[in-house]
Amino acid sequence: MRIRSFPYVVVAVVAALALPTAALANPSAETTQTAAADLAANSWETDTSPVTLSVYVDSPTQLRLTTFWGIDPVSVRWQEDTGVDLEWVIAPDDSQAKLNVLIASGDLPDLIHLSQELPQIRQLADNGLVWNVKELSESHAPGVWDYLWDRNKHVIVHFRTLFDSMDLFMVPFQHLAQDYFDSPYAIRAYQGTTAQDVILDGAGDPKVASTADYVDLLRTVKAAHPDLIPVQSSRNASPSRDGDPQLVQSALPIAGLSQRYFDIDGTWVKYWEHPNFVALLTFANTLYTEGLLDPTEFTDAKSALKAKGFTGQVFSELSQDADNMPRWTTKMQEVHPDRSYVMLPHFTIDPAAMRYTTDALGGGTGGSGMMVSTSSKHPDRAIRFIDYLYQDDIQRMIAFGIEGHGHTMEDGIPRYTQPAQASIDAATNAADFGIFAYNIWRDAYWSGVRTFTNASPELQDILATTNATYEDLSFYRGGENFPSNSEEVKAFSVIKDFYATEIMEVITGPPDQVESRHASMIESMHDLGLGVLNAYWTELFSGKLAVQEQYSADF
Amino acid sequence: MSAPAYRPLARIGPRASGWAALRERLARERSLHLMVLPSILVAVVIQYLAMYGLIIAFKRYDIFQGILASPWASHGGFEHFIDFFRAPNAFRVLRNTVAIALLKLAFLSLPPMVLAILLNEIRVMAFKRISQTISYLPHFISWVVIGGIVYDLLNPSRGLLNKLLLGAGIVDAPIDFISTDLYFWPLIVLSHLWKEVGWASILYLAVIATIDPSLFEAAEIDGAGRRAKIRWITWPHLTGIFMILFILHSGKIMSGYGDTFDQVYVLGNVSNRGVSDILDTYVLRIGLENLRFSFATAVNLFKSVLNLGLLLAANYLSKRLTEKSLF
Repeated sequence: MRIRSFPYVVVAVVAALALPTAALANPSAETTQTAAADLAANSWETDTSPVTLSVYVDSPTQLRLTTFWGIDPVSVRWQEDTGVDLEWVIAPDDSQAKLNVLIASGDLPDLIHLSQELPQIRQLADNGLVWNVKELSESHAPGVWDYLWDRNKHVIVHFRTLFDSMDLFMVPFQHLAQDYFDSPYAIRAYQGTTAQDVILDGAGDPKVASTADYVDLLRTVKAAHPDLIPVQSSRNASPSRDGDPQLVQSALPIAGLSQRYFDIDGTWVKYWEHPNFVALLTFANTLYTEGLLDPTEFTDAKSALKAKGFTGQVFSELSQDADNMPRWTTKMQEVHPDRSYVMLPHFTIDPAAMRYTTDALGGGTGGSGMMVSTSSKHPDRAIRFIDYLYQDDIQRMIAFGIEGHGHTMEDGIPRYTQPAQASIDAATNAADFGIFAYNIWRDAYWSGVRTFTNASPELQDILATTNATYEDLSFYRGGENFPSNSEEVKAFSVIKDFYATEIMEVITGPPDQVESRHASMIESMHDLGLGVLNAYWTELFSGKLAVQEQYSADF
Repeated sequence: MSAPAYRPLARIGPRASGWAALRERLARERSLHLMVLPSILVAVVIQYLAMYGLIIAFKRYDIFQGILASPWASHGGFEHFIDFFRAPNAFRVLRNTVAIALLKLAFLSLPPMVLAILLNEIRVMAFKRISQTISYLPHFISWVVIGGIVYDLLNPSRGLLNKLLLGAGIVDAPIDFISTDLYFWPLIVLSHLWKEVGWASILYLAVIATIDPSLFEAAEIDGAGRRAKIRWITWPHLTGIFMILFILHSGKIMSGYGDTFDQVYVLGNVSNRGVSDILDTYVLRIGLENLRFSFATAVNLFKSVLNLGLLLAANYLSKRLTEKSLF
């Protein structure tokens, strides 16, 4: 009996095993489809099972996100829609050190959000630690690539030039899509020189078209108001990443040097060697030697410099963001209720020869981007989450909160609801309404709409003026993303250190020695290896030009 | 009545040799060894195993490749040391480091000892305690806070000191004390003195407390006054700890003496860099901020080797001259 039944048992077992195997070996029409074709109409809806993605953000100020996430209505909605929970990896102080530790340990988070200025982004790609965006997108979220290719070719071309392979490894954020570029709400540039209106009127409201006019104005103000600091630059503390005092960085647009790198007779050089730079240094030297700057301009912390502006101790601020002006005015009016900050017309050293240009991050190609690490266990969910973030209604949500809760639509323009409008404190707005909590992932359009529609008519005029100074300068970014351990890194670190102290000697030295001291400084910098850097920049920007040319046919 | 069983007196008789002796001693002192074990483990893991990382001073360390896979540096591994000595600011950095350390060694070693003696001589206990507490307090304030206080106090446009000097007609124009090279080193020494003199006096006060009171009583019977007692009793008792601290501080000269990095990092700026830049700030700025980890390690290794040499030299000299030494 047992022997007779044996064949049946074997056949039954074989059949049972064969059925699913056959199904796999002979796929139906549906199962032969690619993973991409398996996707739902919206890629993030393909799989909404709960998953936790770790995300590194390179800014200590974003630690605030850890308090909002999962509580504010926007992030709750995102979790419901995508199933994605986020685990934030944010250093409370030195974000660079944190990133280096993550890289060295090999324990990279799923998502890495970085400024596009950092040298590590190129190295992450070169070492295969992050996904090629196109490959990942084609497999799991074609919408990401379609969005970038159809609406943001300018961003793609720029980002590709950040990597040796010319592939795209970073998904951009804070950029302005091409179809929004000509919108009246799109804010492409913010900066200019501000002044206190009452003091300016008292000085006769002179026409300021050049730095000579500006210096004359400052002299007049100094004579009439000896207790007032005529001018300062508080945008950032000195020295800058280039080793400059902040005054010099703020004055670059005034000298027509905003792009920072220039092709001079076939060699690409930094603004240090541009003829206009001597004129800029002469301007800075005049401000210093005539006492038009506060002696602590170069040494005070950013907060101390700002405090002087907030309390009305400073007549004019070199390089101020237009959208900061209402806040500065509100602060100043606590001390001087009759005064307001106004923006001066954009002036340059020589208005006939140079144009004041700025390229605010977020004005065109954006300021930061996100990478998906190859060590991620869920790269599919990561890229789909990015796809979700790229949706226009999600971008509107970042700037205005959820429709009906944070804002309502009026003639296609979002307006804050009364409770959201009443809750003017940024932290409360973020916590209660999710408004601008996740602005690291904003695009420039909806944040521009947000700024513009909430601006006073006067500020709207100013924004329209500053917008006119916009020029896409993204081509010139990334000049300091040197390969690690390279001769360029060595030369740059030594030259920058030398330059940081020498430039102070030029600015604070005798006015008649500005030119000779500058020449001597440049000569010494060449002795320290500036030629190596110039060769690097020449190769880099020539390569970028070639990429631009290669892709120009696509536009 | 049976004779008591014979028990060898191991602790009294001739000691066992080699491993047996070690085992015996470990067993006998096991509670002490157990107590010290965590400290030894911490020292081994944190201070000795970590020395493995020093290898990157001789490599072109790349965080993406890791320590072992990174290539060796050129010039037989000494590329980064050579780079340092070729750097235009190397001499300046070395000069500042040594000068600040020597100034601190010269002006900060004695005051805590003197303060301790003075505090010991105060007979009004309430005054003594209040003075002690006030002198200890600055130690607990970080250099970041003290830097802010110093900046505000000496600020040329809003600082109290400049206002006083101007008001008294001592100066015609405000002085930028922090950014002017001439004032920076004295500022570093004085601010350190203010912050740490009270705290550093504790050790000396502790030593004074151990002096046998009968010595003072005997001196009084012999007609010694306060100054004589200080000269012949207190002072000689303090020289031992003074020399030990002197030797230990000598081993920190290439670090600028003690926590000078924090101090210089806070009070230094681009205007006074010519006199404020020390090895540690240089390593941070040139090495770490530019991701040149191998260079930073090489300079730090150089610094540590010199510090060790200085400590050994100070110890040797102290032994020869005062017969007091660490080892």
